[in-house]
Amino acid sequence: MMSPYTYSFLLSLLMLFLTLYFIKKRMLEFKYSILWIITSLFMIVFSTHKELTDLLAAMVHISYPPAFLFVTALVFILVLIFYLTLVISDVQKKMTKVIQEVEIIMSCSEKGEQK
Amino acid sequence: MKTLVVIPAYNEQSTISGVIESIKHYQPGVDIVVINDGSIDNTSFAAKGAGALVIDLPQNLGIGGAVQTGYMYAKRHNYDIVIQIDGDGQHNPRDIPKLIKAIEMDEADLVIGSRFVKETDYPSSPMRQIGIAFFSKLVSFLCKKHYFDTTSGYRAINKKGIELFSQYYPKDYPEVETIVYASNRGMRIKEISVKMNKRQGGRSSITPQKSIYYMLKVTCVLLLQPF
Repeated sequence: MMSPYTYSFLLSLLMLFLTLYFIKKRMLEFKYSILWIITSLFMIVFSTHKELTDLLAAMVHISYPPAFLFVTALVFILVLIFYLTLVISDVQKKMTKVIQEVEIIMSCSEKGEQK
Repeated sequence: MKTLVVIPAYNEQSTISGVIESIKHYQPGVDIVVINDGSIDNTSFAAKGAGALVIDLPQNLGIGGAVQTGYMYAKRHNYDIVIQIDGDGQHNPRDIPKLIKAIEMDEADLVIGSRFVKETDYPSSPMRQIGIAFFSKLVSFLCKKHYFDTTSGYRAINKKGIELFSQYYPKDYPEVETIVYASNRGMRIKEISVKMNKRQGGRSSITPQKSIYYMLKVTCVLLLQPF
Protein backbone atom coordinates (compact mmCIF):
# COMPACT_ATOMS: atom_id res chain seq x y z
CA MET A 1 0.00 0.00 0.00
CA MET A 2 1.20 3.49 -0.86
CA SER A 3 0.33 6.54 1.22
CA PRO A 4 -1.31 9.52 -0.56
CA TYR A 5 1.82 11.52 0.30
CA THR A 6 4.16 9.08 -1.43
CA TYR A 7 1.78 8.97 -4.39
CA SER A 8 1.72 12.81 -4.64
CA PHE A 9 5.48 12.93 -4.26
CA LEU A 10 6.02 10.47 -7.12
CA LEU A 11 3.54 12.30 -9.37
CA SER A 12 5.18 15.66 -8.64
CA LEU A 13 8.59 14.23 -9.34
CA LEU A 14 7.34 12.81 -12.64
CA MET A 15 5.82 16.20 -13.54
CA LEU A 16 9.11 17.98 -12.79
CA PHE A 17 11.09 15.44 -14.76
CA LEU A 18 8.76 15.71 -17.78
CA THR A 19 8.92 19.52 -17.69
CA LEU A 20 12.73 19.54 -17.65
CA TYR A 21 12.83 16.87 -20.36
CA PHE A 22 10.65 18.91 -22.71
CA ILE A 23 12.68 22.07 -22.05
CA LYS A 24 15.78 20.09 -22.96
CA LYS A 25 14.10 18.90 -26.16
CA ARG A 26 13.20 22.57 -26.82
CA MET A 27 9.57 21.51 -27.23
CA LEU A 28 8.53 23.65 -24.26
CA GLU A 29 9.35 27.33 -23.97
CA PHE A 30 10.93 28.25 -20.66
CA LYS A 31 8.34 30.95 -19.93
CA TYR A 32 5.52 28.42 -20.20
CA SER A 33 7.36 25.93 -18.03
CA ILE A 34 7.79 28.18 -14.99
CA LEU A 35 4.28 27.47 -13.65
CA TRP A 36 4.90 23.74 -13.97
CA ILE A 37 8.27 23.88 -12.26
CA ILE A 38 7.00 25.99 -9.37
CA THR A 39 3.96 23.78 -8.85
CA SER A 40 6.02 20.60 -8.99
CA LEU A 41 8.41 22.00 -6.38
CA PHE A 42 5.52 23.10 -4.14
CA MET A 43 3.87 19.70 -4.42
CA ILE A 44 7.17 17.98 -3.62
CA VAL A 45 7.57 20.10 -0.48
CA PHE A 46 3.96 19.47 0.61
CA SER A 47 4.13 15.75 0.03
CA THR A 48 7.42 15.33 1.88
CA HIS A 49 6.44 17.56 4.83
CA LYS A 50 3.30 15.98 6.19
CA GLU A 51 3.14 18.38 9.17
CA LEU A 52 3.11 21.40 6.84
CA THR A 53 0.26 19.92 4.79
CA ASP A 54 -1.64 19.08 8.01
CA LEU A 55 -1.21 22.64 9.24
CA LEU A 56 -2.31 24.26 6.00
CA ALA A 57 -5.25 21.86 5.68
CA ALA A 58 -6.36 22.74 9.23
CA MET A 59 -6.13 26.43 8.41
CA VAL A 60 -8.67 26.06 5.61
CA HIS A 61 -10.76 23.51 7.54
CA ILE A 62 -10.02 20.52 5.36
CA SER A 63 -10.26 17.53 7.67
CA TYR A 64 -8.51 15.07 5.38
CA PRO A 65 -5.07 16.68 4.70
CA PRO A 66 -4.25 14.85 1.43
CA ALA A 67 -7.41 16.44 0.00
CA PHE A 68 -5.62 19.74 0.49
CA LEU A 69 -2.95 18.56 -1.95
CA PHE A 70 -5.54 17.63 -4.55
CA VAL A 71 -7.47 20.88 -4.14
CA THR A 72 -4.21 22.80 -4.55
CA ALA A 73 -3.41 20.84 -7.69
CA LEU A 74 -6.90 21.51 -9.01
CA VAL A 75 -6.56 25.26 -8.43
CA PHE A 76 -3.23 25.17 -10.23
CA ILE A 77 -4.83 23.47 -13.22
CA LEU A 78 -7.51 26.18 -13.36
CA VAL A 79 -4.84 28.90 -13.24
CA LEU A 80 -2.92 27.14 -15.97
CA ILE A 81 -5.98 26.80 -18.21
CA PHE A 82 -6.73 30.49 -17.74
CA TYR A 83 -3.14 31.36 -18.59
CA LEU A 84 -3.30 29.18 -21.70
CA THR A 85 -6.44 30.93 -22.92
CA LEU A 86 -4.57 34.24 -22.57
CA VAL A 87 -1.71 32.80 -24.63
CA ILE A 88 -4.12 31.45 -27.26
CA SER A 89 -5.81 34.84 -27.54
CA ASP A 90 -2.44 36.51 -28.07
CA VAL A 91 -1.36 33.94 -30.65
CA GLN A 92 -4.68 34.35 -32.49
CA LYS A 93 -4.19 38.12 -32.64
CA LYS A 94 -0.67 37.72 -34.01
CA MET A 95 -1.78 35.09 -36.50
CA THR A 96 -4.50 37.40 -37.85
CA LYS A 97 -1.89 40.11 -38.44
CA VAL A 98 0.49 37.69 -40.17
CA ILE A 99 -2.26 36.30 -42.42
CA GLN A 100 -3.28 39.85 -43.36
CA GLU A 101 0.31 40.80 -44.17
CA VAL A 102 0.87 37.62 -46.23
CA GLU A 103 -2.33 38.21 -48.19
CA ILE A 104 -1.35 41.83 -48.91
CA ILE A 105 2.10 40.70 -50.13
CA MET A 106 0.50 37.94 -52.26
CA SER A 107 -1.93 40.35 -53.90
CA CYS A 108 0.90 42.83 -54.58
CA SER A 109 3.07 40.14 -56.19
CA GLU A 110 0.09 38.86 -58.25
CA LYS A 111 -0.49 42.41 -59.49
CA GLY A 112 3.20 42.58 -60.44
CA GLU A 113 2.92 39.31 -62.37
CA GLN A 114 -0.16 40.52 -64.30
CA LYS A 115 1.73 43.65 -65.40
CA MET B 1 33.74 36.33 -49.49
CA LYS B 2 30.11 37.38 -49.74
CA THR B 3 29.30 39.17 -46.49
CA LEU B 4 26.03 40.33 -44.99
CA VAL B 5 25.67 42.64 -42.01
CA VAL B 6 22.53 41.84 -40.01
CA ILE B 7 21.16 44.54 -37.71
CA PRO B 8 18.21 43.51 -35.52
CA ALA B 9 16.39 46.69 -34.55
CA TYR B 10 13.49 47.52 -32.29
CA ASN B 11 12.67 51.23 -31.93
CA GLU B 12 16.14 52.45 -32.88
CA GLN B 13 15.12 55.39 -35.09
CA SER B 14 17.61 57.76 -33.46
CA THR B 15 20.69 55.57 -33.97
CA ILE B 16 20.06 53.19 -36.87
CA SER B 17 21.07 55.51 -39.72
CA GLY B 18 24.33 56.45 -37.96
CA VAL B 19 25.17 52.77 -37.52
CA ILE B 20 24.46 52.02 -41.20
CA GLU B 21 26.53 54.96 -42.41
CA SER B 22 29.39 53.98 -40.13
CA ILE B 23 29.30 50.38 -41.47
CA LYS B 24 29.44 51.70 -45.04
CA HIS B 25 32.40 53.85 -44.06
CA TYR B 26 34.47 51.10 -42.46
CA GLN B 27 33.43 48.23 -44.75
CA PRO B 28 32.36 49.73 -48.09
CA GLY B 29 30.39 47.56 -50.46
CA VAL B 30 29.06 45.18 -47.81
CA ASP B 31 25.38 44.23 -47.93
CA ILE B 32 23.36 45.46 -44.97
CA VAL B 33 20.00 44.13 -43.87
CA VAL B 34 18.00 45.62 -41.01
CA ILE B 35 15.48 43.32 -39.38
CA ASN B 36 12.90 45.73 -38.09
CA ASP B 37 11.31 43.75 -35.26
CA GLY B 38 7.88 45.34 -35.29
CA SER B 39 9.13 48.79 -34.20
CA ILE B 40 6.50 51.37 -33.40
CA ASP B 41 8.73 54.29 -34.35
CA ASN B 42 10.39 55.29 -37.64
CA THR B 43 13.19 52.71 -37.55
CA SER B 44 12.21 51.22 -40.91
CA PHE B 45 12.03 54.60 -42.62
CA ALA B 46 15.37 55.74 -41.14
CA ALA B 47 17.11 52.51 -42.15
CA LYS B 48 15.77 52.64 -45.71
CA GLY B 49 16.84 56.27 -45.93
CA ALA B 50 20.38 55.30 -44.95
CA GLY B 51 20.43 52.79 -47.80
CA ALA B 52 19.95 49.45 -46.04
CA LEU B 53 17.62 46.68 -47.10
CA VAL B 54 14.88 46.46 -44.50
CA ILE B 55 12.86 43.40 -43.58
CA ASP B 56 9.82 44.60 -41.64
CA LEU B 57 8.52 41.88 -39.36
CA PRO B 58 4.76 42.31 -38.98
CA GLN B 59 5.01 41.20 -35.34
CA ASN B 60 7.61 41.70 -32.63
CA LEU B 61 9.42 38.37 -32.47
CA GLY B 62 12.03 39.32 -29.91
CA ILE B 63 15.75 39.55 -30.50
CA GLY B 64 16.19 35.83 -31.26
CA GLY B 65 13.45 35.72 -33.89
CA ALA B 66 14.79 38.89 -35.52
CA VAL B 67 18.40 37.69 -35.68
CA GLN B 68 17.34 34.29 -36.98
CA THR B 69 15.43 36.01 -39.79
CA GLY B 70 18.78 37.55 -40.77
CA TYR B 71 20.45 34.13 -40.79
CA MET B 72 17.63 32.66 -42.86
CA TYR B 73 17.97 35.52 -45.33
CA ALA B 74 21.75 34.96 -45.49
CA LYS B 75 21.26 31.24 -46.10
CA ARG B 76 18.70 31.82 -48.82
CA HIS B 77 20.99 34.29 -50.60
CA ASN B 78 24.06 32.16 -50.14
CA TYR B 79 26.20 34.48 -48.04
CA ASP B 80 29.53 33.21 -46.72
CA ILE B 81 29.78 35.45 -43.68
CA VAL B 82 27.22 37.13 -41.46
CA ILE B 83 28.14 40.01 -39.18
CA GLN B 84 25.65 40.56 -36.40
CA ILE B 85 25.69 44.04 -34.94
CA ASP B 86 23.29 46.00 -32.70
CA GLY B 87 21.38 48.97 -34.04
CA ASP B 88 21.78 51.09 -30.90
CA GLY B 89 25.33 52.23 -31.61
CA GLN B 90 26.97 50.16 -28.84
CA HIS B 91 29.06 48.20 -31.29
CA ASN B 92 31.64 50.14 -33.22
CA PRO B 93 31.60 49.21 -36.95
CA ARG B 94 35.31 50.06 -37.03
CA ASP B 95 35.92 46.49 -35.79
CA ILE B 96 34.00 44.79 -38.62
CA PRO B 97 37.09 44.28 -40.86
CA LYS B 98 38.83 42.59 -37.89
CA LEU B 99 35.90 40.18 -37.39
CA ILE B 100 35.68 39.40 -41.11
CA LYS B 101 39.41 38.76 -41.30
CA ALA B 102 39.26 36.20 -38.50
CA ILE B 103 36.57 34.25 -40.40
CA GLU B 104 38.38 34.58 -43.74
CA MET B 105 41.61 33.29 -42.19
CA ASP B 106 39.56 30.35 -40.86
CA GLU B 107 40.60 31.05 -37.29
CA ALA B 108 37.10 30.19 -36.06
CA ASP B 109 33.53 29.44 -37.17
CA LEU B 110 32.07 31.99 -34.79
CA VAL B 111 33.94 35.14 -33.77
CA ILE B 112 32.69 37.17 -30.82
CA GLY B 113 33.54 40.84 -30.48
CA SER B 114 34.42 40.92 -26.80
CA ARG B 115 34.64 43.80 -24.38
CA PHE B 116 36.80 41.94 -21.91
CA VAL B 117 39.53 40.02 -23.72
CA LYS B 118 41.67 43.08 -23.23
CA GLU B 119 41.09 45.78 -20.68
CA THR B 120 38.59 48.20 -22.27
CA ASP B 121 36.84 51.15 -20.71
CA TYR B 122 33.36 49.75 -21.29
CA PRO B 123 31.05 51.17 -18.62
CA SER B 124 28.62 48.77 -16.93
CA SER B 125 26.65 48.64 -13.70
CA PRO B 126 27.68 46.36 -10.78
CA MET B 127 24.54 44.23 -11.25
CA ARG B 128 25.37 43.75 -14.91
CA GLN B 129 28.96 42.90 -14.08
CA ILE B 130 27.83 40.16 -11.69
CA GLY B 131 25.61 38.69 -14.41
CA ILE B 132 28.38 38.84 -16.99
CA ALA B 133 30.90 37.21 -14.59
CA PHE B 134 28.42 34.47 -13.65
CA PHE B 135 27.66 33.53 -17.25
CA SER B 136 31.31 33.74 -18.20
CA LYS B 137 32.12 31.15 -15.48
CA LEU B 138 29.16 28.91 -16.30
CA VAL B 139 29.76 28.93 -20.07
CA SER B 140 33.50 28.36 -19.57
CA PHE B 141 32.69 25.38 -17.34
CA LEU B 142 30.18 23.88 -19.80
CA CYS B 143 32.38 24.43 -22.87
CA LYS B 144 35.66 23.58 -21.10
CA LYS B 145 37.22 26.71 -22.58
CA HIS B 146 37.44 30.18 -21.14
CA TYR B 147 35.00 32.78 -22.44
CA PHE B 148 35.08 36.36 -21.25
CA ASP B 149 32.15 38.14 -22.85
CA THR B 150 29.28 35.73 -23.34
CA THR B 151 26.58 38.40 -23.60
CA SER B 152 28.05 40.26 -26.55
CA GLY B 153 25.81 40.31 -29.61
CA TYR B 154 28.62 41.57 -31.85
CA ARG B 155 29.55 38.52 -33.88
CA ALA B 156 30.81 37.14 -37.18
CA ILE B 157 29.72 33.71 -38.35
CA ASN B 158 30.76 31.57 -41.29
CA LYS B 159 28.59 29.39 -43.53
CA LYS B 160 28.56 26.51 -41.06
CA GLY B 161 27.20 28.85 -38.39
CA ILE B 162 24.64 30.38 -40.75
CA GLU B 163 23.32 26.90 -41.48
CA LEU B 164 23.22 25.99 -37.77
CA PHE B 165 21.51 29.16 -36.59
CA SER B 166 18.98 29.09 -39.43
CA GLN B 167 17.79 25.79 -37.97
CA TYR B 168 17.71 26.75 -34.30
CA TYR B 169 18.16 30.05 -32.54
CA PRO B 170 16.88 30.78 -29.02
CA LYS B 171 13.90 33.08 -28.92
CA ASP B 172 14.87 35.48 -26.16
CA TYR B 173 18.21 36.29 -24.50
CA PRO B 174 20.03 34.20 -27.12
CA GLU B 175 23.66 35.36 -26.85
CA VAL B 176 24.83 33.17 -23.98
CA GLU B 177 22.96 30.06 -25.05
CA THR B 178 24.20 30.18 -28.64
CA ILE B 179 27.83 29.87 -27.47
CA VAL B 180 27.15 26.62 -25.64
CA TYR B 181 24.87 25.37 -28.42
CA ALA B 182 27.45 26.09 -31.12
CA SER B 183 30.33 24.73 -29.05
CA ASN B 184 28.45 21.46 -28.42
CA ARG B 185 28.03 21.11 -32.17
CA GLY B 186 31.73 21.35 -32.89
CA MET B 187 31.90 25.01 -33.88
CA ARG B 188 35.21 26.73 -33.21
CA ILE B 189 34.63 29.93 -31.27
CA LYS B 190 37.04 32.79 -30.80
CA GLU B 191 36.81 36.07 -28.94
CA ILE B 192 38.37 39.20 -30.37
CA SER B 193 38.79 42.39 -28.39
CA VAL B 194 36.59 45.25 -29.56
CA LYS B 195 35.80 48.63 -28.18
CA MET B 196 32.17 49.19 -27.30
CA ASN B 197 30.33 52.43 -26.71
CA LYS B 198 27.60 53.12 -24.22
CA ARG B 199 24.24 52.75 -25.95
CA GLN B 200 23.50 55.94 -27.81
CA GLY B 201 19.75 55.66 -28.00
CA GLY B 202 16.79 53.35 -27.50
CA ARG B 203 16.40 51.13 -24.45
CA SER B 204 18.08 47.98 -23.25
CA SER B 205 15.83 44.96 -23.69
CA ILE B 206 16.88 43.79 -20.22
CA THR B 207 15.27 45.95 -17.55
CA PRO B 208 16.14 45.39 -13.86
CA GLN B 209 12.80 43.61 -13.38
CA LYS B 210 13.62 41.19 -16.16
CA SER B 211 17.16 40.50 -15.02
CA ILE B 212 16.18 37.84 -12.47
CA TYR B 213 14.05 36.07 -15.05
CA TYR B 214 16.96 36.40 -17.49
CA MET B 215 19.42 34.78 -15.07
CA LEU B 216 17.00 31.96 -14.25
CA LYS B 217 16.01 31.27 -17.83
CA VAL B 218 19.49 31.33 -19.28
CA THR B 219 20.94 29.19 -16.47
CA CYS B 220 18.16 26.65 -16.89
CA VAL B 221 18.51 26.36 -20.68
CA LEU B 222 22.30 26.25 -20.45
CA LEU B 223 22.12 23.29 -18.09
CA LEU B 224 19.41 21.68 -20.23
CA GLN B 225 21.02 21.81 -23.65
CA PRO B 226 19.16 19.97 -26.43
CA PHE B 227 20.44 16.59 -27.56
